[in-house]
Amino acid sequence: MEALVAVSLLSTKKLNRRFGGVVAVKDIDFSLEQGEIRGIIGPNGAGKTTFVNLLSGRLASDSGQIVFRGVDITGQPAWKRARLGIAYTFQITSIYPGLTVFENVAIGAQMRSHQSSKSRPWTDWKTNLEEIVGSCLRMTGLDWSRTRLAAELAYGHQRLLEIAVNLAVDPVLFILDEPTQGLSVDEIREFTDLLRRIRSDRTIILIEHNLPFVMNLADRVTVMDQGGILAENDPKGIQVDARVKAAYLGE
Amino acid sequence: MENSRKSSLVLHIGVLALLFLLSFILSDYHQLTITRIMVLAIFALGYNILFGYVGLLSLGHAMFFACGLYAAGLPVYYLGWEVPSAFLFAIVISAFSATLIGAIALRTQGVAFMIVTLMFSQVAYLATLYFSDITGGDEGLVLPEHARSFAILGMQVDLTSPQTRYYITLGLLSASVLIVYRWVNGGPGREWVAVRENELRTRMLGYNTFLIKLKAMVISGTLSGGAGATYGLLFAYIGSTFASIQYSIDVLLFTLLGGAGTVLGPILGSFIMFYMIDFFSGYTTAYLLATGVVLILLIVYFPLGVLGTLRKKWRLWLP
Repeated sequence: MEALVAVSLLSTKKLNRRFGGVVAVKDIDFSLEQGEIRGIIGPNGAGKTTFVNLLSGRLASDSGQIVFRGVDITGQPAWKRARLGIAYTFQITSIYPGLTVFENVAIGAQMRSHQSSKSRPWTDWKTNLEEIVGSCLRMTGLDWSRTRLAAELAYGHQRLLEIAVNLAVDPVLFILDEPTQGLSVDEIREFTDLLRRIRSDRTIILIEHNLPFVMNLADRVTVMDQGGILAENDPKGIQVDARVKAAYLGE
Repeated sequence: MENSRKSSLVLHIGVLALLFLLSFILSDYHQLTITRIMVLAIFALGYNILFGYVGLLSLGHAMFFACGLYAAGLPVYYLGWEVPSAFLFAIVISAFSATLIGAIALRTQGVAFMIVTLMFSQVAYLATLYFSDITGGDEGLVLPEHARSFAILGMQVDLTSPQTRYYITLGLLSASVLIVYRWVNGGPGREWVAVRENELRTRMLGYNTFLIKLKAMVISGTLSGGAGATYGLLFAYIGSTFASIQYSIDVLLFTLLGGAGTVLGPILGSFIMFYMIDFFSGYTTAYLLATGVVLILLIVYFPLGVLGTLRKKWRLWLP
């Protein structure tokens, strides 16, 4: 029977986290397959951000287990998890505002070149870095802004830059916390295209309030409510789920 | 970008070459002054790695300076060590104590880090006074005659000659500048600045930011200790004054004045500040007042320092 169970990229067992008396994440069993785009939706305060913070290691869990690519990462600090391939973009854009766009991405790229080319000579390492930065900037359409200060970029471009910085690390799993927040309709369309390009060789967790955006992109959607998982299905199934409607509309 | 990188390297080497050429025209007195300034510049160069690049404000760097000073001076005084071995010993001890203190102090951030470093430094200062039987306390110790010269590679080096001291210090300063320049422009510098600009983001990209800060602290403390050892050995004097808070503040001022986060800034700052105090002390005994006024003016009007402002204004590429 064991052989029939698909090996998931990431799974959690009975994951818990409380803040004082508030249980933010309660007994969550969650499983994510390689290559999928998973939407996580739910009303405010449902515990979505806390949950993904437990995955990325920004917060420590009180109890439960997290397994990523067969490794138990429950006790590992955030930076180790990032090295294993978990990237995280913040709900409030987090970049290096005082540095140029190139330097922003180079910080991410250096992490990758460090890991992949420890044995290579210094010069090779440097060209490698330039190449990585170049390709990430082209992918996110920010090539024109290389020498600009990140702080001077428009908000939408800063969001893209955060993606580019993370892309440079070459993660396996991308956790995006409300990426479309504050973006215009046009920007959201571009963002959707970008995520479609990124997903070709990556897995994505998408926390969103923008339902059309999630339903359009996600393969499966997990609905959270009051710290637990309320429902999990493909987008169509979720849209007709009575429990979900109840949680959202209070019916 | 490649072009400006080249010209910035030329600038750095040019400054060092200028200091070399100065040695031919300066009187003994001025050589002595500039020797002192260059030692302090090495101190500031080390301080700047932690403050300017990693963004950690330490109020206790005098302890590293004094650590090098005593670790070099005491073995010479009591055990009759030769100058080169005392110098190397001081470097090792400085690195070791920076590791130890860093491992503790770096558990804190921001204001708490300032206070913890200040506290450690005060402990070190008071210890030098408490054990004045050994350290000579406030009066200090004058290093014995045998430490005024040493032989290296078959050459006899006379430390009483102003010229010799000048060249030794310039050599050490040049080595420090070139090493720091290289680091700042390479991988380590990028990690330092990343921590300074956004530590959480950096950690979430896979960097062990604690280790990055600790390494920077060790480099910073070792350079500062090296400066202290140089000072003690060249001028044959070790005393508690060098461990006092004033030296921690001075080095912060040098760095702020010249421009934190630039390689040449702390050096420029050391020169300006030294001559400014020299100038004021000609008029008043309250020359420390000048230090205070400069500090306030800097923070209010000139937070980037001389080179920092130039860099911003003309978008110069200065590491």
